[in-house]
Amino acid sequence: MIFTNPMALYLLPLAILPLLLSVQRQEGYPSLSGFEADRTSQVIALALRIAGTLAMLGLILGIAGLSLRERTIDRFGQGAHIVLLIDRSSSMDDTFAGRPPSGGQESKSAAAKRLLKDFVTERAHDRFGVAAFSTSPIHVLPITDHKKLILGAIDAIDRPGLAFTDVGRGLAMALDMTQEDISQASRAIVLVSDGAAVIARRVQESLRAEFARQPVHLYWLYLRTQGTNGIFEPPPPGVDDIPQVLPERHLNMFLQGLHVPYRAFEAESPEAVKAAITEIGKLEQTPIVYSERVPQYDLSRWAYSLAALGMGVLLAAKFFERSVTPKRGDAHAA
Amino acid sequence: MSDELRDVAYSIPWRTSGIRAGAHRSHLYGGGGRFRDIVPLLSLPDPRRIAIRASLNDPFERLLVRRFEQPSAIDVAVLVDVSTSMAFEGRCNKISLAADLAQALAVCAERAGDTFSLLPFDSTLREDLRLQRTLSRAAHSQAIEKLRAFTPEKPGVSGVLEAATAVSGTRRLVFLVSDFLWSTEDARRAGEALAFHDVVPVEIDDSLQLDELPDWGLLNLRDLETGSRRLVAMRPSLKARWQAARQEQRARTRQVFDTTAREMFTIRDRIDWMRLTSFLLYGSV
Repeated sequence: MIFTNPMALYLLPLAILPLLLSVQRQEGYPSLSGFEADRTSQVIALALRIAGTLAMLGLILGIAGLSLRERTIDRFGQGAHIVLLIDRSSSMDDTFAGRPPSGGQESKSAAAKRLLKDFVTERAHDRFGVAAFSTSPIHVLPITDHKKLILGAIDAIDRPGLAFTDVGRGLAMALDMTQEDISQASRAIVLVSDGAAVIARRVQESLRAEFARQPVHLYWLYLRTQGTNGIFEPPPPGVDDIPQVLPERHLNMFLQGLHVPYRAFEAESPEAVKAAITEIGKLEQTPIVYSERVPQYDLSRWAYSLAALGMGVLLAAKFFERSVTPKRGDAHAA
Repeated sequence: MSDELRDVAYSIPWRTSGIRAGAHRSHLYGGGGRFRDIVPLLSLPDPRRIAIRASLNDPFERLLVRRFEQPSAIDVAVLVDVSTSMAFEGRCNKISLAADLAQALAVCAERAGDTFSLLPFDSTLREDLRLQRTLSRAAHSQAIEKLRAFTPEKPGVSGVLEAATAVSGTRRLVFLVSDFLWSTEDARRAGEALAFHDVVPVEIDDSLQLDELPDWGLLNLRDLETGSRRLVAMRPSLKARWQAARQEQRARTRQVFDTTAREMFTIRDRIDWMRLTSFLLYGSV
């Protein structure tokens, strides 16, 4: 509890005034001695005094700027810290059939966006980070639990993308992001892409080293366009089994070789994407403790509400106030 | 001064022993006034009043004279309660009503040749407002105007005992003007102290004081006598309780005064002069 304007607290003694002084206009009455005190009246009188004090207190605390200090609270939950690594290459703007979307068709990025947003919304305790990659990796959002920010970041992924697909540096950036997060929660990287490219050997080496130092769960959601190479099946005869020809298959093999928990999903339709995401959700269910930063919260609106309430009561009392003396000019002039 | 006010009159149901000639029946006898009896000339050596027919008829052949009652003057004292409870101003101004009443009685006393004294009291006898018994009209009106302009400032009515001491002596016609929001004890002591006199208690009541209180609402009242404050959530049931309490208090006070004084006359909001006169002349309304 802090005050942004503590000088106003010197006014606090004023709050006693309604207890000492009557709030309402008083009228002389010849003698009350014959009438015993009435319980209802006593209660109302006390309530009015308290209302006056509360009104005063509320105003003073409001002026003093009563607020809750910024703090960090620990929360417990189940889930993981997940970095969504999303392919922003221009092929993501096509449908699963490999064509630009027309009519009621949904592009791969739009489907991914919709399903990922559902995923984020359902997973109450997960924290997400978002990174994108295309010609170069794009740091979109560090790992955070602000759902609105995450949803906003995912919203942006169906902007028209760029030409190339630099998976390697994207993975490096996602890994960096998981390392920035120092909590003990389980970490995962979900790579969402519709294709892959050759990862340079130097990059491969550094990625191996990084993954060895900092193991994370790795998922690859491969949005496969119809008719393109799968990641699992062996190459058809007559096709050279080299990264330049079958980059997806070799990326899969590379990721398997990282010695981290890894799974790849091949999805050829929004339904398959959905199933894959559900599967990832099931796998990432470790208990986590995470701390949440709560910003300074201004309580003065509540203080003013309290004051308004108190003054409302007083106003009502004023409204119900009656007089024992007649209005001026009505009195009998003897 | 209104004409009605000039028409007030009072009479006393007892004989005075006042030696000044006036308008009331007395124990004295003399040459004028109402015929009383026939006595021998030797007991009343006033040959001007010889009753010839009675003397001729007297078997003992004495000379008889007529004896007459000498009407005498009395002293009228008006004791006015000026304690703070009289400051309540609802439909009427109690002090001003009391001043009206005193003025009417003063006029009446002047006409009858009686002396008039004004003894306002609160917790003590107010010497500053007090008028010693006098026949001076100027003094009467001056004292009454002073009373009219007075704003009550002290609570309590124990000064009535001092006032009773001040009017001790011969029997007087004493008007005790108050709102009678008194404790039974106060009333009893006042009644005893004034028991020797012909006391006319005059109660001044204000209908706004109780009967015309609002049925519903918050009343923020300050007791004029004790200064204590009280917020009252008035409602019909509470009002009925208050009325019952006031009725009971009034009945007790009346009971006390009934043993030592005349019936209490109540002035409510305004003075009904005809009713007052008939009360003062015939003892009832």
